Amino acid sequence: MPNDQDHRVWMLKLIADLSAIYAKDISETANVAATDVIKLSFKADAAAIFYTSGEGRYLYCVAGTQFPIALSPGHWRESVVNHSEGGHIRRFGPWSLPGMDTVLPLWISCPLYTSNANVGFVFLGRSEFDWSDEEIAVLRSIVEVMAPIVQVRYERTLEERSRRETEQRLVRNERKLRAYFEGSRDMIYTANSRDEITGINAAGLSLLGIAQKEAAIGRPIADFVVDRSVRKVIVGKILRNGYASDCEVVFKKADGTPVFGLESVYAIKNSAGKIIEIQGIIKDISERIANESALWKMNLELAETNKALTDTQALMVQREKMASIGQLAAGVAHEINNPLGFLKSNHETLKVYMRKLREAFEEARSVVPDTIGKIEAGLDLGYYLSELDSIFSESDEGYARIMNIVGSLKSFSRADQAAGFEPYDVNAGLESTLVVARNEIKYVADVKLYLQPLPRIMAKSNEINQVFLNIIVNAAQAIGSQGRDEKGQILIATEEKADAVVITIRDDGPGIPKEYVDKVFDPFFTTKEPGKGTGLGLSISYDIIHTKHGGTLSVSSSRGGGALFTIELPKGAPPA
Amino acid sequence: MTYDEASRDFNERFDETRLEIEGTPDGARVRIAGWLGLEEAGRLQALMDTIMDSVEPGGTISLDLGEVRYISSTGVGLLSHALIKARGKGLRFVLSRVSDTAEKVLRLLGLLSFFPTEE
Repeated sequence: MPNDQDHRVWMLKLIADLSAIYAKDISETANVAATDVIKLSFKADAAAIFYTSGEGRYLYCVAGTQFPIALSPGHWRESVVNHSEGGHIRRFGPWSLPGMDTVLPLWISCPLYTSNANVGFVFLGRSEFDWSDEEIAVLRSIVEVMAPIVQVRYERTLEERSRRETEQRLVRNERKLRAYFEGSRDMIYTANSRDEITGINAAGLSLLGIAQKEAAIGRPIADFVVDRSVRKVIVGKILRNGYASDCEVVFKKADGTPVFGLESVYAIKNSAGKIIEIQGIIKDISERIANESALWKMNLELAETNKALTDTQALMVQREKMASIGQLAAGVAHEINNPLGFLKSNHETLKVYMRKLREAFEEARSVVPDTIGKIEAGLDLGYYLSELDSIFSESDEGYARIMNIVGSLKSFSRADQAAGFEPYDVNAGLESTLVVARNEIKYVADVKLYLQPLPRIMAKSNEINQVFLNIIVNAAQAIGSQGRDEKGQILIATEEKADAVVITIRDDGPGIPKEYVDKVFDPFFTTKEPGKGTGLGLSISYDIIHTKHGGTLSVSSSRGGGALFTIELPKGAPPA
Repeated sequence: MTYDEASRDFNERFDETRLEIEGTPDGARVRIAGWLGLEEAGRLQALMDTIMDSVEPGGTISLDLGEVRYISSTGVGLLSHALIKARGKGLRFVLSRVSDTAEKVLRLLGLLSFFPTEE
């Protein structure tokens, strides 16, 4: 038996051989070579190293082979679990290595390392000469040297495995992300902190109408939007909040076509909080916006049509009213005109007859002056005869007035029947309108006319009369609303200018508050009590003067405190 | 809720938008500034409805968009809704000022001509 010195030399040589093997070969194959050296050194008939690999496989290396052999969990259990004893050396046998035929009677197993559940063992087997304590001591010593080497290799394998898996995962994720990025139907882009594009997908190129990525990379996003200021606002939002979601941005394609995009964007920041990348996704919502826009337009047009219908209806109501007034005026004029004709005729005849009687009376007086004188004195005939003149004179005036009224009514009714432009006498129109409105005016105001001679103009007489009537009746109602003790005044004046005739209608009523002056011609605007006015009269008047006759209609506060309406009607041809 | 309270409530909800509502003798003047996105426009539409319901026919609602820096389609929808509602109620709805940004969007959508404006 070798002595201690020999043991030490043997052990050191064995350690040196094993170190050389592991230094030369960093792969797992080194374990196979190690078993060869151990088998030889211990003069064993069989040697093996059992271990779990970093990849979780059960392996064992057998002296005399070339590569580690994989074991099933069953083989591992049968070999290692049944023939080892934690951290102790165990003797056992007879037994044969897994997959080997030779059964050896004398085995020892020595734990190589324990790292949680991962274990390794060195197995040595002999056909004869049981294992001595010295051999076991040497085995322990070399196992102590081998253990950290094998363990480090195990852990390195584990790390490599983990790294490989991570890399594979990263590659898979990269592929997935790339497929998502390129396959997305929405534009996905990345940009640097200056908002310049650093990456863009195919959908992005399509959205921007660009063929090559090179045409987009490096350019600011703002180059591709219709309104650069909006991009600035969004970038400001990103800087403040780190993101901006659901922003609607109008992009422009390379050919200038606008594209409506719904953008969500967020910033990647470094540990110092500085933006290192901006990542955004933009959905093309042009179709949705076009549909919404069409709907809005349709609704707005519908609202305008409704308004036009309402205005037309109001106009028709007003015209109907005017037509009724005209028909009434015509009827009244006709009914009065007939009896007036024979009354006037009888009156003239009566005047002739009275003249004849007076002549006869004078002749009788010259023949029998005393008798006639007596009769005249007795019956006070001198007084009656002198009164007859004033009676006839007053009756003449009365007839003239009635005939004037009838004439005005006829004029008004004729105007109502006229449809198109015709020569029109503004002064006559005002006078006939005043006759129609007289009943509305007479108890609240006196009308003063300052009418200058005017040329006839081309106008729709019924409509101009309607305007006069609206303004004059409004003036009378405004004065009447004050409940004054004394009558107010309505002053109507006309004058001729170079290319227009001007009509002013001024009243001394309450006037129009300054804030309403701009609104009196708006449809439905009224300051009257509910039910007293539709708010359409002046609106229609404005339309008649401005749109249909090419004139102007304005209102201002009168110096006397009331309202002053000024109408200018062109003297030339009517508007086309 | 008064106009002041409504404005304050709105401004507390949205820190990137500023709303001012002011009563006028015949209606109201509304001034909106900043960001008019989905949520802001939705809230403002509800307020505009309330304002218009409180103004008598013939009155005027004036909306100042002069300081609007961003307007979404919901914002444009709000304007259309307000104009249609105003017409239905016999109110006058005008845009007193329109920022370049809002004008561009309204023009692109072909809606600018529908809105009466006054500078």
